[in-house]
Amino acid sequence: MRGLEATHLNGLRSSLISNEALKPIVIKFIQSLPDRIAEIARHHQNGDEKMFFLMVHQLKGAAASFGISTLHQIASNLECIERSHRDEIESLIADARSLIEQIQQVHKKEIHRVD
Amino acid sequence: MVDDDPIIRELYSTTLKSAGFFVSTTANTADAAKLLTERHYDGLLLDLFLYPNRSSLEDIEFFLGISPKTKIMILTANASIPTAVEAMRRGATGFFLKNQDLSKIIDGLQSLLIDTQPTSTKLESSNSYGIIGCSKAIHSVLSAIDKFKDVDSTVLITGESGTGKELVARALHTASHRSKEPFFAVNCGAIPENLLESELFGYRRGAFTDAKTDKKGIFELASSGTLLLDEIGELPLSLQVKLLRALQEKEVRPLGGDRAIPIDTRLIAATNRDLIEECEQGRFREDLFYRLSVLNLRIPPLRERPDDIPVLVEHFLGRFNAKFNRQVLLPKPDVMAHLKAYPWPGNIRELQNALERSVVLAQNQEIDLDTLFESNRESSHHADDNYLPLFSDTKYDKAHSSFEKKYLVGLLKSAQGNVCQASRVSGIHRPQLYRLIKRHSLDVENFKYEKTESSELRAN
Repeated sequence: MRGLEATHLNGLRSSLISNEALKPIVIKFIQSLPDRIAEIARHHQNGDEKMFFLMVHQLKGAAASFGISTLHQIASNLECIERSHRDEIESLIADARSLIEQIQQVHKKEIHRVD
Repeated sequence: MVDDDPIIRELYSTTLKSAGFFVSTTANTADAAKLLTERHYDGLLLDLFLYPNRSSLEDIEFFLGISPKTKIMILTANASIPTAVEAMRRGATGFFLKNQDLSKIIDGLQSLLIDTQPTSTKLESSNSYGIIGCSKAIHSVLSAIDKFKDVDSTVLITGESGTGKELVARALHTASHRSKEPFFAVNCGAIPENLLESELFGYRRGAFTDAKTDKKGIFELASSGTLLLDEIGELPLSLQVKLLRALQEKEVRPLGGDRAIPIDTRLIAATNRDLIEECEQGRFREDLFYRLSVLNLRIPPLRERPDDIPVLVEHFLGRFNAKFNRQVLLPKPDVMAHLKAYPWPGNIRELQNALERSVVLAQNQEIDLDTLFESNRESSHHADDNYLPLFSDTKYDKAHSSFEKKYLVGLLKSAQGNVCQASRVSGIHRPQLYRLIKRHSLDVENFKYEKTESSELRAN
């Protein structure tokens, strides 16, 4: 996966997940990730650059705030890439989808407890 | 805290609240500007990119224009030294990265807010729902709010007029799990009895001549929220019965209605009266008193907490300087000593009004003791018995001069600017009286004008 050379377990796991008070918010964020990436893909397909940029920037900021470094990295890459490089963007979106699955897998135990 | 991502707002709101901050969050700059005009915030944490192709750096000066004393701190996922420098150049106080450890961001916010306050006590005021103070008495009030916030029992707030009973009631609401629901405040003494009943409990169409449609009462409107019944001691006996029933049954029956409506309203009552005395006199139902005073919260008068006066003065000066675009300085120690020694019978409201006047009338950016106190003493009739304008750090000649000026003002007022009459009344020879008037820069014409104006009013 592009931009994920340093990917390892710690990079997938939220640094806030051990905080009991914040755990429900972390889980809510992780559960929202598939919808977020779907929305980003939709704005890309519709050619809505403004909303695409805004949603990618939101994802980047949220991933940073929740301490998920791999997601922060891939969102940063998406934010920087030239808009004309559509294939690269689509490839990165696919990488992000795969990464989100891994992130959800890593937090499976906590998500299951909340559900 | 301003951020367009709801999950980020929730994350920061939860974290900051648990660190003791009072927090409001909004998604955009327009709502943030509205909040800043409504109350003072010590700090504004602003996301750098709220809108596509636009940086929030452009908004820093705008926010500082609305609230010059609020510290603007930028929060961003984009680490860039030029952006941080530009933010500082435009007036930001801090710059935080979203990938920083959250606890470090909180520590940074706390240290920035402490650094920008002249005393650590001010920080405490910012953490306590707008309740300003650092005294033990205020700590007790804050501690009670903390204990009472999440229980639904009725709270009876007692305290003299102007002590901030409504502010404390709002704090109880804001701190509670009902904070997202409405807060209503009704002054029982300000609404006629027949109107108060329909306002509180509502009515059905046809209940009385003007009841053209159904109307919900405030109890029903405030259901799931909080209702403050201020001046509860003024509630007529007939309505006391109905209120007691509503509290016991947790339902209200609108006027003209045949069906009770369930309510889930947290009730807070407030009064400046001694309700036990009112019960003894038969003006207040004892059973209602016990129902209302499940939890008691007494707000001390300002004279019992003079240590809070410096922080209150600083708070109000900041507000009025911003409001009137002035730069009046904090009072000098001798003026502050007077402020702390004065009994403030009108409590915080009186202090606030005195400072507002002083800021408006201030010359050379300084608060004038005579202007400040003359106004207060005129508006507080029963203060004179307790207030002695002599203090350990005031020199005799200054106190003498202050008294002399007050005496002359009173004398000229009573004589309506007629120096001959003032001379006769006071026993001061006319030439000496003229010298004293000149020494204190008084203008007799001002006192004559008052007479003319009064005469004109009477003539009309």
